[in-house]
Amino acid sequence: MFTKLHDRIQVIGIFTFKGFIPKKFQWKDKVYLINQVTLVSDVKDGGLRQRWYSVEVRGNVYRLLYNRDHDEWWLEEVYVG
Amino acid sequence: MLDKPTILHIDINSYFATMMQQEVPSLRGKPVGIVKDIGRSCVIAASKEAKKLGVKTGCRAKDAKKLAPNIIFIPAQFDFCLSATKKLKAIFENISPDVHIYSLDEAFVDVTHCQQYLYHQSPLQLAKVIQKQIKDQLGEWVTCNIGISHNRLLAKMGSEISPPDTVFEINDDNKDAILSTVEFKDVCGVGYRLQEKLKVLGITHPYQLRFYSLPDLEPYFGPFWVEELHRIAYGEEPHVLRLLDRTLDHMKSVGRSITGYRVHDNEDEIKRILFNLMEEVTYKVRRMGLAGRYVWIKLYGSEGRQRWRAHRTLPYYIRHTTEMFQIAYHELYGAWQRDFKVIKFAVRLGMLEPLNETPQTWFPDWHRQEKIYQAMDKISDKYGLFTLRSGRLLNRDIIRPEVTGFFGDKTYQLGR
Repeated sequence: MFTKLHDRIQVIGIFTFKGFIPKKFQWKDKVYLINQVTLVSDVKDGGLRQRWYSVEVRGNVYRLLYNRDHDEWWLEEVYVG
Repeated sequence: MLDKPTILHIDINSYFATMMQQEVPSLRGKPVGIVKDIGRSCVIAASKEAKKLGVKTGCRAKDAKKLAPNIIFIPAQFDFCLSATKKLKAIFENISPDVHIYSLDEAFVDVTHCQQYLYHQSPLQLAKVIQKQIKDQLGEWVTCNIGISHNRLLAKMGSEISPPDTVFEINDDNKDAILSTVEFKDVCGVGYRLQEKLKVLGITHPYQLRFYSLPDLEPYFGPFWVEELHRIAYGEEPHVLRLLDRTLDHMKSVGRSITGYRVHDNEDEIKRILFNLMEEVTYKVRRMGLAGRYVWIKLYGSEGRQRWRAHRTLPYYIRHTTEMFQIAYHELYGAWQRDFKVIKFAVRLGMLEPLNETPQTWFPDWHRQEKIYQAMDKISDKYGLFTLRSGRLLNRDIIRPEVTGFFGDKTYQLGR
């Protein structure tokens, strides 16, 4: 089951021809190396454009939210597998 | 010169569950049941593994648990699935301009007119390419069935009867064999009740219908369905699929329904839920520049037969929540006997027409209201629906817009 978090994070990634690919993120002073991006979703609520990256780190899946309008990264949810 | 159309029907296998397994790799290969939310008891989608154990869409969670004791229940992520559907639409539109998104996880792609320009001229090859592109765009776990034929009924039948992640073509050589072996549950346009009626006559496969004359069947099914069944028996498209050829300038109605966690008999709760649903309906109607004059409401109890519905056709057009609420709640619901507790609520505003083509009211109050709603809509457009909300919805959980597998509001969702 996904657990809601909503914490600000910092993300490092690379730009490829497919777009941005997150590689690692820092959450509460700890760095998490991303094993794979399992899903990328674009969600629109009114004019707010949100891009969600579901990333797998050591068997757990983290839902990272990039708010394009505010240029902010949030760790929204985690699934402990 | 092409003598017959070539239509592909693409159906993503176990869509909601497959997308969840794509997102969470540890769920792959395990029976997964998708529920609407935590605590909900209806399985709205089952993974391939759960289906193998007998879990079906629509079954109760406790029944699913009996069939698959290790089943994992996860709430659906509707927004992510809608995002994936938009990616699918882009893939299909790269192949052909004639694409019809049939539901959230199904589409018809007509390649008749563009086939000669495609690199992969064989439809079977093209289908394989589509399967690969879907994996590339949506993820390695996402598989689909593709049916190929010369019309939509047979193309859909092809994808329904083929095993997951395969391509199946129905042509003149195998059509009759398929129609004599396929079950009616795999035939588009034949619902459960019709299947049961046919079963009473011993008809379980479409081909059997060829041995009955139309006058023989008419007393049982009526003139409309006799014609429809006759078409299906010969593999021709039924009315429900021919309707896709209509070009609609705009949506004809907008509705919204919700099934509660429990039954409701508290008047304040019922009032709030109905108002909430109508806020969403009228917002969508205004976003599309429409107004309607058919107000419809339906309530369901927890027992199968507990249903009540009412409607009113107005001599004028409405598009404000307050107008719809006045009719649906105060006038229609107000006249209801309240003889059962409500578990499901549904409202609809129909007979929609573009606002600029409807007679305009001269009442200044309406125009003042319209200005207020337009201002509210601008805020909703920017910050999301219900950012600004009526006092009736304060300090309560909001029922937010969501997509369904049926994808009834696809014109609205994909047009945005």
